Amino acid sequence: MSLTVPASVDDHHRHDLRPRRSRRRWLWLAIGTLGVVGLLSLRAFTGELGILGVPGLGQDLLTLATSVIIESLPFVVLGIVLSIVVQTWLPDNFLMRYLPHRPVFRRAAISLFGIALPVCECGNVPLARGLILKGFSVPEAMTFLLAAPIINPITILTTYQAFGFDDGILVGRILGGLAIANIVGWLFSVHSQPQAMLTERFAAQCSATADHHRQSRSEKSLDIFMRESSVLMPAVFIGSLIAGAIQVAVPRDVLVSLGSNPLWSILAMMLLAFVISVCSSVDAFFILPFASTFMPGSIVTFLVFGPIIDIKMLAIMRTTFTAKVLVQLSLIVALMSAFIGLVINYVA
Amino acid sequence: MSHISISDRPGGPRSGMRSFRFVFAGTVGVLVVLCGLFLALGSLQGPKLSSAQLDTDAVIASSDQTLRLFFNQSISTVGSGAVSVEPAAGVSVTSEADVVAVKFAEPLGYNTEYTVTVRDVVSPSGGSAATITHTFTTGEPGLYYLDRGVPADAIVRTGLGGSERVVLFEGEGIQEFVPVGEVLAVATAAADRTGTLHLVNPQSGVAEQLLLPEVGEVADLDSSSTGSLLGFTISSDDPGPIPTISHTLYTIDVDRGRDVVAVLDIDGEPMRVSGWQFIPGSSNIVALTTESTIVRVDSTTGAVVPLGQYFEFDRVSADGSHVVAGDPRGSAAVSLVDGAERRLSPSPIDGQQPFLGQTDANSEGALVAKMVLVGESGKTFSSVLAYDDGDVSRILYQTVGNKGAILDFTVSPNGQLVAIEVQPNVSVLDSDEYVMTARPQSVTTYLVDIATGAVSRSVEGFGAVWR
Repeated sequence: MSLTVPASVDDHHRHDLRPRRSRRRWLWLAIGTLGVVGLLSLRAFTGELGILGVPGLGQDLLTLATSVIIESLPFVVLGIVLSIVVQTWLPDNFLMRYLPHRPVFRRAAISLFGIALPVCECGNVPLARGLILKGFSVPEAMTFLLAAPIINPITILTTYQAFGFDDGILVGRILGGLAIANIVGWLFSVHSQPQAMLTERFAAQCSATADHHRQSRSEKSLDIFMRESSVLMPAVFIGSLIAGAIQVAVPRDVLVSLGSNPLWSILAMMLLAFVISVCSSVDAFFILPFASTFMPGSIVTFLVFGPIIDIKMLAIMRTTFTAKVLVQLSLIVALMSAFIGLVINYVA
Repeated sequence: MSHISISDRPGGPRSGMRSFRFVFAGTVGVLVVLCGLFLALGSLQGPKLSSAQLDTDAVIASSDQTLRLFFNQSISTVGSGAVSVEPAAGVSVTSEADVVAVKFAEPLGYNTEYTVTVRDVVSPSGGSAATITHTFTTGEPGLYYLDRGVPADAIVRTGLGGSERVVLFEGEGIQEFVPVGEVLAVATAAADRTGTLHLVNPQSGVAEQLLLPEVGEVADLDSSSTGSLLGFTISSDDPGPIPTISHTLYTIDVDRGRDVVAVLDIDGEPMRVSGWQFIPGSSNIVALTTESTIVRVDSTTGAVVPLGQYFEFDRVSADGSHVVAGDPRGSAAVSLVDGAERRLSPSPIDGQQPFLGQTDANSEGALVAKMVLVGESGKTFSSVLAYDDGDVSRILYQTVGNKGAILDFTVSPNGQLVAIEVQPNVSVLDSDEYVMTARPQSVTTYLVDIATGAVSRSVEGFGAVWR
């Protein structure tokens, strides 16, 4: 199988498009910068919105949403920068070196890759596809895909910033994420037809990445920055708004009664994680306001379930795995997340 | 280009798929059972205490300190009746979400283990009720004192028990001292009583002389128990139309610089005082001006509030509620909130009516005071330190054979102990002959438990400061 694209055609198109793409990049950068400045200004004035006649609920919504955004934005940008370093500046075979031969240990080692790959779940899907192309088995790539967004340094840092070591939330998230990834990896390694887990279009879509090898590193870095920003920033903004809206719209006593029930608190958190699809780099800040209402185990459930299974991730993973596999994956991850949450609720 | 590692397993696709389905179903089944098991265990368990938060040093120094109990989930409202404290202490209780706040009405005892019990803690969604207990041990303050000796005087810090004695600074001719923030303010005096003021860092031993706005006697050192504000007076000749001595009150925030600032009176002029003190637990000042007005000064805004006309300044109570002042009619406890006056009259000791001396009057109306008992013949006197609960007085300390004298005393911030400065035998003339604050060389400070009258320890020295 070859993914090579005729050089002449590619060069021709690149030559034609380069000036326009460059201008568009700078335009987007300018818009992004202005957006951040506008956001900071909005935050500065949020406390005085009363004099502008904004209704109280609107004030609460803006305050809650912008608080989450302001808290998470530096980490998102840092994550993107580190992602660029990993994807652009590390050698291609860097991850393949020194892996154990026994499948269990090999998957355990792969599940730790995320520590050196500070990329959230959206960025991990293309990486996982790349790993399969590099010779990884499907369960191994799946192990990486599930563990990496949870144990990547940005996620660990933000979770620590939000919760410290309180109630075992940070430790529960890390160990729980690793456990889920390895158990799912083991389970699907039993599958007798690994190729049946993949979509037919997978190989064809992979060929689209070939173009990146022709770019200079700076061009590729800029491309990744734009791509990651365009995926992450809307998720951050929309997730923050939904978070604010939920807290404003849903009566607090409903949240409290849900949050203090061992079963409903976990189910509610899984539903919340599934719907809002917030990035693992910032989900700890998102869920922090709920920490005083919901039991710690349900918070951990949110933090291990959300990075693996949510609307956005299912949509992205569907590009690689069949619907049946995604259903099986969702069921196992949901049960394991609930189990981890229930154990932490009991122990913590 | 690498190949994709997706080869099928041997044994046939159908048997392989059956194996996968079996493993998958088994995994799901095991997880469902485990989830059900821990769901049941969690439901039976009830809320649990996750962590607790209390400043064990602040809780012995001031009232209204709060113990926050954090639960692992939101809980139903907890009332004061569900909370008990052992040893007994007055509390008010509030709760919200996963936190129960237990506010202590009074400062707690030193170095004491307290157990707080919260009963019937339930989740808003119901389930089992839990009883939680939290135990903590309070801190104890440091006691600073001045031990004059040969060849040098020593500023010492000690604890409430044992024989710990940490020399923080040694120097010659120390008239007064007070700890302020992380440093010590030390006043010395020349033979003509001209004073100098140093800030000493006990860690480094570095002493820094302050540049003072006047040349004169430096006295009445005090510092705020919170923050880093130092206050003192400088007395110098004022040749004005009617020659006087200034007694000007100055402050300096040692954490913010070395600017010595005069406290301003209500007329905007530097305040001249015949007595003054910081209010314990704050940075505000109470002073008796040379115009015989007791005033309260807000150190932040400079606002001056007159509280009444008196001639003599005794002290601010250890709980910061009253100032004791005197006039020709006797002593009075003046509220620092509104200036309300309560005339002080000591209760009898064993049926005998004593005379009142220096007094600490707390918010509950109890007194710790120097009292003098006159013998039946009218020719003998005994000086005692007594505790007056409003009905009767009982002796906390008196010198052996009534040979000595109680020179001064300081009640601890929580009202548990009193440091009593004693000259054991007044017939022995052993003054150290310091120009400003001369003391007998035999001066000893005793720590006495106010509740029991028991002496917990004694140290050679005087000028006790609780911090």
